Amino acid sequence: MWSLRLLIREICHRFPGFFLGFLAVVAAVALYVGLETMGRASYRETKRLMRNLGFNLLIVPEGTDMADFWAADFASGDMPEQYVRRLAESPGMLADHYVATLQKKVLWEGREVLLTGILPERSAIDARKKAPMGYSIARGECYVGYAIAKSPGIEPGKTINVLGKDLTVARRLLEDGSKQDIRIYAHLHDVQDILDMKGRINAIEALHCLCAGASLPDLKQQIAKVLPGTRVTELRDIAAARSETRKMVEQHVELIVAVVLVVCAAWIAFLALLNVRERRQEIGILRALGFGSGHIAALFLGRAILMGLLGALAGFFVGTAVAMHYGPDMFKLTFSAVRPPYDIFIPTLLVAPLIAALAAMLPAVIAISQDPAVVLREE
Amino acid sequence: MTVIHLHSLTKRYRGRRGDIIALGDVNLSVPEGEFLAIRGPSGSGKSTLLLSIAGMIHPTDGKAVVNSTDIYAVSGRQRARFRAENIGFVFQMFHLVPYLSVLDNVALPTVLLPGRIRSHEARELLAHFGMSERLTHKPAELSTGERQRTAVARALVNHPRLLLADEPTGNLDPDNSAQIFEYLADFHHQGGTVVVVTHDPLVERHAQRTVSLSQGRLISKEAG
Repeated sequence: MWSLRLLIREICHRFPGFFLGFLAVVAAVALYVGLETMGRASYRETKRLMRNLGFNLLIVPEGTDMADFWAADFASGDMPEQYVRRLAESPGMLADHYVATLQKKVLWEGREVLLTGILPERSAIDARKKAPMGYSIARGECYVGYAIAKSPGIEPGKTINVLGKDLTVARRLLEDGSKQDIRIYAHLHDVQDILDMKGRINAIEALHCLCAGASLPDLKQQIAKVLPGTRVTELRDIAAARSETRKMVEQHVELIVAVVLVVCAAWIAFLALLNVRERRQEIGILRALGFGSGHIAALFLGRAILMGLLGALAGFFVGTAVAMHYGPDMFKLTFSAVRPPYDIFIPTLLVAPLIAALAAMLPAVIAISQDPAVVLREE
Repeated sequence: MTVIHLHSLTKRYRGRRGDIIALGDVNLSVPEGEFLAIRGPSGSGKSTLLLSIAGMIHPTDGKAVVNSTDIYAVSGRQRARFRAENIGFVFQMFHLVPYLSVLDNVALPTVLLPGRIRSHEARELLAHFGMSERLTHKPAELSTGERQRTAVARALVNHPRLLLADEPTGNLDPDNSAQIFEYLADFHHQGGTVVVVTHDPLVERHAQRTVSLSQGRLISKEAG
């Protein structure tokens, strides 16, 4: 108790020095907390942006000639529909958002269209209630591409006949400038009925996971085990953009935090050294009165720990407030979902004083090893 | 009973031009209840001798027995404890802790002893030294005489058997110097042992014995 009293009185007496150290801890912790909060927001934002770019993985039957695939935009072979469920139920997969598709080029109303059946996705993420990717089309309904929608009589609510099956137009799609404009999307099972391919699909689209260690070779190995007789193709532009963005964000945050930590620790050590120099006589007299090394070290380490604790407390709230204030402007899609990082509050309160104490260790050792007789004889 | 017994106490420092002898083969006994003055020119080793008696300068040779304890034969921790319990120290520059009040400065050594902090004893001592009005003042707010009275009160608060004073009146005017020597004499009259390093002639009124040091050697023993 008396040691705490000494500590607090000394801090009040030499407040500017303590305050400078405190500010350094506040700055370091605020930066860390701010970057962590922004990093999480950035991670979510990147995921959302990348998801918006569309699927980046394609799983097709093994024998598919990819030259034909890219020419026709669908695989000539097929595979069981239950593959999707098998994938979705496999734990630890490095991909998500599986969508089963069955596509064929057919003649409709005298023109070639791409009839595309899709199954509202099934995957482990369904349990997390995430919004599914791709269209979720009810049975008996269809979405029509822009070029087809221009035909007379194609209105939402109207019924069209596709190769003998009536489908209600639920939505007309906007112009995309791609093959999507000549597609008719319908529920997978309706398309299977139309094409007489019950239980079959010819591609699974998926999203490669945005997480550490999710390399394509690993994913291919995983899928080969779960779905023998298939091949995995990565849509490189999209995948590369995702990977680069993710790595850039993570590396920058790690580097900045590391540099700031080192600078802050060096600053605290420097201030602690100044404090030891300033208190040489005080250390001498405390020694002369009978205070041992433990008492002397406690005064210096306690000062650093208190500095770290108070700095961490203030820094956490400053960093959170700054991130929450500026975040919405930076991450327009996802910031509302990011909360103050309370999960790192306690670790921050423990680690910051620890680092401050480590930084003050050398000055404390110098204080302990200082010969009081030398100081006391200097008078 | 002998309170201090120095046997062939020697302290050498290594210098560029060879060893520097701060204390050379000093033999000295101080019986309990004695008031001893140590005199000598600047650099003669007086402060080194006093700090050696206090267990703060490890001798190169010889031994120092204080209150029957060979203080350099025990651990640093035990020595610190021994100092807190047995020795009071007064310095020329007072060496008060600048951020503590007068009362806290005087109570500070009691932290090291078992039991609660003896603030009431610190108050009584300060009242005895005419410092009751200054209890909450910081050292910087005191006159030099008041600072030294505070320092003497701090040295006495743990009821030491031995009081060591290094030029306690070196920075004081004659009136304050006389007062400080009166306080040391009071302690001595109550049975305490006083060893004081000083150039002040006022010490002659109180010292029972005076010894002189020159170049680290005890060169004379005089009756006080």
